[in-house]
Amino acid sequence: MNRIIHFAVDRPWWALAMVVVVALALAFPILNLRQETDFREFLSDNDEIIKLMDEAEKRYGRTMGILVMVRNVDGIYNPATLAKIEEMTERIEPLVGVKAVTSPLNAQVITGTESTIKVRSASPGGAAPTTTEELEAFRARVEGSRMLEGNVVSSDGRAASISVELELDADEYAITPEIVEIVRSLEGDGDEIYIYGDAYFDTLMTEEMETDLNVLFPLALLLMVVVLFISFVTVRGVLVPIAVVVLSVIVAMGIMSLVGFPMTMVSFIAPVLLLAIGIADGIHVLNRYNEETAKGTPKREAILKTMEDMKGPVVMTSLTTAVGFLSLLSSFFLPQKQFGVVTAIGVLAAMVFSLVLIPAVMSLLKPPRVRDLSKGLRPLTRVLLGFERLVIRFRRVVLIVALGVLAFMVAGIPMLDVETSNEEFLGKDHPAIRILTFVDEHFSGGMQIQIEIETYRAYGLEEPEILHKMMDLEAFLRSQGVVKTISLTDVVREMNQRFHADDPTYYAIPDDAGTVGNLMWLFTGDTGDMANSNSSAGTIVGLYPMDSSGDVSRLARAVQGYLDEQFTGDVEARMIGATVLMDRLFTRMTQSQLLGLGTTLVAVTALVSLLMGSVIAGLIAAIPLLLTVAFSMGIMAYTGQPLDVMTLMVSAIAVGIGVDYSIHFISRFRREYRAHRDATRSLQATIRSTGRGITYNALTVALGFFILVFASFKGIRMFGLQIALTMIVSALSAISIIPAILTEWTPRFLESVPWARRTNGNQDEEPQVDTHKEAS
Amino acid sequence: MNRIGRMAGLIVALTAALSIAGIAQDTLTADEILTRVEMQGQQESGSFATIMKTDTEHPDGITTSVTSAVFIRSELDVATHMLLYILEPARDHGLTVLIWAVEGEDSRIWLFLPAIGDAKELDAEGQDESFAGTTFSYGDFGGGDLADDFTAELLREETVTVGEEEREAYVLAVTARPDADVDQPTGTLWIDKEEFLILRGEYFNESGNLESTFAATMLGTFEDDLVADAFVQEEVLTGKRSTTTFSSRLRLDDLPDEVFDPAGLPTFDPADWGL
Repeated sequence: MNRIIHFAVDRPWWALAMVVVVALALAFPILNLRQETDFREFLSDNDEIIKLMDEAEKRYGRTMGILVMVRNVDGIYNPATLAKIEEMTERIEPLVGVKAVTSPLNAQVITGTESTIKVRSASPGGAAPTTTEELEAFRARVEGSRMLEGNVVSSDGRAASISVELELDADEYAITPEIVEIVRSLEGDGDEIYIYGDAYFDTLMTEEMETDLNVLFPLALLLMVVVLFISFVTVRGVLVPIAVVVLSVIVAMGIMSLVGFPMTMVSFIAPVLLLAIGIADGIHVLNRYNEETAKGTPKREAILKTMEDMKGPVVMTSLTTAVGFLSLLSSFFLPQKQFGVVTAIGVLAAMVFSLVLIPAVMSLLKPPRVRDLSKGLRPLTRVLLGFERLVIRFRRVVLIVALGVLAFMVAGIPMLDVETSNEEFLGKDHPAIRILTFVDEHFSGGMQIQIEIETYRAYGLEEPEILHKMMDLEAFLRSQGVVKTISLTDVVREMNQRFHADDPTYYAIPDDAGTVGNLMWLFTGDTGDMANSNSSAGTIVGLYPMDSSGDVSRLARAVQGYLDEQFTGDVEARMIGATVLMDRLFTRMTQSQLLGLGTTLVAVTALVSLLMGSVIAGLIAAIPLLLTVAFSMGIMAYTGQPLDVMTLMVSAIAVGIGVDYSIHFISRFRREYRAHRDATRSLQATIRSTGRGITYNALTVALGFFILVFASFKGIRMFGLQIALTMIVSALSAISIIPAILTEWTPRFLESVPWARRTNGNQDEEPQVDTHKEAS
Repeated sequence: MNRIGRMAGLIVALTAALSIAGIAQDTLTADEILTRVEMQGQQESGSFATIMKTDTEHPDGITTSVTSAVFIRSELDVATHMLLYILEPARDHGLTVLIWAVEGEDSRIWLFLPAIGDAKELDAEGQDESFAGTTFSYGDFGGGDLADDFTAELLREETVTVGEEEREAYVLAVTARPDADVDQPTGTLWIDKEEFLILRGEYFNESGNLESTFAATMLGTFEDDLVADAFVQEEVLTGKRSTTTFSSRLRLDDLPDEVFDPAGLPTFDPADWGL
């Protein structure tokens, strides 16, 4: 590393040229960075859940198309609203890629007489009724059809849905904007129109991600400029660290594009985070350089001395921060993994640029004019020294209070809910959530539970005893909050009634399989996901509103219990589809995050122990982290804020970033203690230098993350707030608990030199960690 | 809606074709070829019977099979009556579909379910439902309006191999007329130059993507006319594929009205009529 630093100092133009070449090479791929918001793409193709879904899709086909829903508070049974529905249907039908459009007007109503089975549109010709008589007849037909009422028209008559079925090869992303245009032209006059579809949601999310990034990144950049200007009051003091972080963002994003990682709901905040995290290295190096030049040290010597002192802390803190982000690799959720990798790359890039770019630029510029640091104290240092005097005086109280806070926060953790629903991430006012709420309120619910019944024999599903068993299961589902179920049992009963002249007493499962088979003849091979091609297997679909991910898991567990108990013979039943997918996602996400947190704590402690050559040092460094994690989770528990897909990552990231403060503090204290053998004096020296650096560092990172409160997504906002809070707690812990421990017990490792090596007779050389002193 | 596949249709394959020998073929335009194909689908008066077996490979990997005894009475330019009596699978044995295709009127379909005991007329706005889960619909049994719905362009002539037989064919690009109500607006047809039988077809959807294909896989003769003894229809986008074979083609004495009487369906027995 020394060679690289010397190269940068002695051949600055070459070093700059190499940095520019790397940056340019990685900047171009960023243009090809794609965005991904499809939930399904977030799991590996080999994931058990994806395999299950693929298998189900292969057996039963993909049924999801686009839904256009209309609401009129006075009811949709009025000529104007129905005319709009007719117009929408007529304008959507000819769009390329649209296979069929089913509205309340053209939906098929099956009726039976003694001699005929009639299949007719609910409104003749699919045209909107114009007279009162036509309107009433239409309403009667819809409300009299079990298949339509509650499906194409809500039970309260205030909402209608238009289902757009797409060709198998249709491009949903091309069709959706055309439908949006049609819909927007017909809104108003009391009619609210909503669109429900994967592509529509994806488009909404993508647009918001782009908007957020366009706003948050410049905002974070501006904030960093302000912080840097306050710190250094020089143009170079602003531009050099900014160049380091911008370059690290370019590297991270460029590599992200090259390895094929898409921009996701999680990773789109990475550039903003890298600004906040990566700026610290530049601040530390420049601070140290200013400190050195203030002593009047010649430029080259000052740069080399600075880099000699700073390479240790920069490398060590960057490594621990990278470890924190890399712990997200333990997640099974691809966006979190990718976010962890990309941010870790950015952090390491910032490290490299800090060690190469800054010395190169410094060697090209004249040394800055800085005042003598030995004269006077700045207000922040005075506050910190006062704080430390209190810590030393009441160190046992500090430790007891810390233990008390830790116990209090840990006690709250069991109350913590894990809530990974869309609503929790997006916020209840998000347009996508308003659409889902609309579906929940008017159309049985936007969540699906799908249960596959497998008989392993042709036409097994048409056996009356199996059909009765399915009906029992459907009744159980309804008892568990499922609003509506759809299965072969509905079709069989419906057809039985229709083939018996609409006699309602025949709305029942016939007693023999032959009759069921006959009734199902018209639907042979055409029952969608209700049955496969030879009716050996099929599904029951239940619709319900999703209040929370906890409810989804509870339903999944209850249904699994029922299936285990009731389907023990030669007929098997298993859950497939959205509910089981989400339940497993929620469970595994929580498990993998907790595992990741544990791994990070152990890895960071081990890394610190290794770098400091002392297990005790590693354990002491970990204490503020434990308090930070407990504080973060405890605060959420006591304020009723659940852990979600973003905040689940907070603890692991906070450990990775927060440990920097412990490392800085312990290392400096250790050096001072070895020099003076006086804990109080060592602490004062540490506070005057490192304490100030920690405070600036924590404030910078906290402010950088705080910018995320301006994001569109609630999950991102909460994530930003949580990290900002944990940075403050982590820094406070580092400058209160660690000094209390070190001054109370003065552990033996303080006297030793980590990984001492003999170089030119100097036995006291160590990887020094932070040397912040008062700098202007 | 009509499908181009319809004219690949079943009527042609089921029955003897009108002889068109003697027509000067060298001077035919593409549209005239199309008209000849449609004439091929118009049967001479008479009654026929055959056994039709369709094996369908579904996208979910399951193969189903349905075998029917088919009876047709054709009165040229007046009406075609068709009765399909299901022989296999056993659970559907005796289930009967009756179709009346009267010139100038919408087709009428009755369904007799043995377990229910009554024949019911299926009065649907469209007849697009799949016939027993195969790739063809009830509407496909009703004959075609090829020349009315499509215009044609002669692309080339080429040799088509069907089974072990090589046949010279016109290759036509067909395009739906503006007012035609069709699912597949464009297609390519390979038409036998001598007998005007469709040997192959490719049908494209509105997005311009290949949606389905038809291919005769075995040719035979019936009363000296070329007929397809077997053909394959495939829905390319779904992967569904039906292979249909015909056996026991018979020309019968004129079948009486009682065979095609909905009220007579409960007592109909194909064995009484030669199958």
